[in-house]
Amino acid sequence: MSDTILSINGLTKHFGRIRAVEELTLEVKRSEVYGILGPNGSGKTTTLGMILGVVHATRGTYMWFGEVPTHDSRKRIGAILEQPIFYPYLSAAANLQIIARIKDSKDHDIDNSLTLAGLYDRRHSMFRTFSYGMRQRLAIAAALLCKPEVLILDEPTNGLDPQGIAEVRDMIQNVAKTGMTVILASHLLDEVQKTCTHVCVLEKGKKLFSGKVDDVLNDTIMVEIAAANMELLKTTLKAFQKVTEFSEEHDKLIVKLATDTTAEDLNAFLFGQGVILSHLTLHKKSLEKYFLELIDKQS
Amino acid sequence: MIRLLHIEFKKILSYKTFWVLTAFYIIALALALFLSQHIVTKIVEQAAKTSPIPLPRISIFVLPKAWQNLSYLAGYFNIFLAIVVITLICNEFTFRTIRQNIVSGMSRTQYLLSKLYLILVISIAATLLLFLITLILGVIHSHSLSAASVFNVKLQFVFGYFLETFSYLIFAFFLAFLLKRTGLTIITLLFYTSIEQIIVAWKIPSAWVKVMPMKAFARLVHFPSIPLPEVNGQSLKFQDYVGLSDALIAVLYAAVMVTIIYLYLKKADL
Repeated sequence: MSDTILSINGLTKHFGRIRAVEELTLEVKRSEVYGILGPNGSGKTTTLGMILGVVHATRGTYMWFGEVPTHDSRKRIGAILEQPIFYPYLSAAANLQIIARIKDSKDHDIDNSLTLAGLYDRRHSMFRTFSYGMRQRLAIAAALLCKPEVLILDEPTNGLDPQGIAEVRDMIQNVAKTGMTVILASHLLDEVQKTCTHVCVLEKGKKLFSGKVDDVLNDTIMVEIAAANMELLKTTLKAFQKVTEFSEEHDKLIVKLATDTTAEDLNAFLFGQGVILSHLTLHKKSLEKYFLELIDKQS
Repeated sequence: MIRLLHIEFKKILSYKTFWVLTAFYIIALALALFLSQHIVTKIVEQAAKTSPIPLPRISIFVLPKAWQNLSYLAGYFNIFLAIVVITLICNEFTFRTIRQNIVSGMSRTQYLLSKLYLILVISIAATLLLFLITLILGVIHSHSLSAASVFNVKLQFVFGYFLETFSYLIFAFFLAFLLKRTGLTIITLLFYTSIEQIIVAWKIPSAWVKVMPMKAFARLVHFPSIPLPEVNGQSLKFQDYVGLSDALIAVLYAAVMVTIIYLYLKKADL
């Protein structure tokens, strides 16, 4: 089995003059929990729509499981786009039966899925009569129904109360523990930080960053430093306990600092040890701030 | 095909509106067919009072002629079936379930096929209903009943009715697909039907009348001939068979509309 679940290459979607997604390239590997983070209108849902076959790309390609995608690849994916979509006049059970028949899979247990979603007692009620939280739970149960290889969730906690949010996040983490690949679109930084292993940040349809959540989104500060005597700098750094790790890159060192440490602390320490820096810049540190500013600009 | 039909049946099995509309159709059709003889007799009796020539008694239910008579009448009730089809198609757009169906793993072609199969099944069911009602009424009212009068060449009108229903429902499917709103589509269908009738009544060449959509579907079962006595040496006689060119025109219409739906569905963002 291929390790690459999804690869997107130069995917672009224009709606008339609106550039919803612009030259998006990314790769999702097996068992990753991949967050697509961006403010509302940044192209998250359009991107999901394209890789799920309901929106035609203007340019670019994508592959599922290393193959050119067909409707059969979608049968291996469990997905919710935007709000939960069901036949409102049919029961919860009937709605799940329709999905199981579309997926043409014997590998499902509707009663069990409904029980897990806490909806077994309401299985004969029409979907129309469900509260928002129940609808969301049914949608997740539907996405997981035929044991997909990939779970795609679009703003899964939107409109839920705090308890519902906690439940959904627990569910994602439990699913991820089983090794299932998860792709999660969200405008909530906090949500992506808490649940995802990898992240791609979108703004106005363009990719800003992508990588491991730990690298790009955590609270630690990263600084880029250099000194005339690099060897001395390195040995001195090793003695500083507030440095969690560092790596060399183009004659400079990228240093990761512990959460309670600032660039000033580092500078003061090194100066105290007789190492004078010729270069010091904050590196990528402010993605979180940057993202929050992005959200602020929007609202 | 079976799997796609299974999915469609699941969608309508516990959909109350579908069954209510279907019940309306069955009740209206059955009532109209059962009462048709009574109504025609009344009309003829009224007309006979002022008619200069003696009017014959018209027997609608006598086989094999009943096949044409009742097929013709049944055509008027297809609007109920069109409303059923429009509701089912538009619901998929209103509730965006078409999108979820595709996301779940249907191809766009399969989606189109599933709807075509459903329309085919509805048309076959309506044809069977007509066949049964006609058979029952015919057997009760025909004086001299023989296998030859039941399984007569006139049975072609039942097939004509099937083709009429199927092509008309494809037209309803086509409108529903373009307009996507149940109410709007039904009103458009009714509006178009009356507009076409006005155009047809407006003395346009008969070759054109033949190819007007509604007329093309309705022409599959012509108005039955009435056994009136000859007036000035001319008897009132209508086409008493399903015309091959009429059938071809209806099939062609259906094919063109399905092709347009297919091309649209292939290109559309859902």
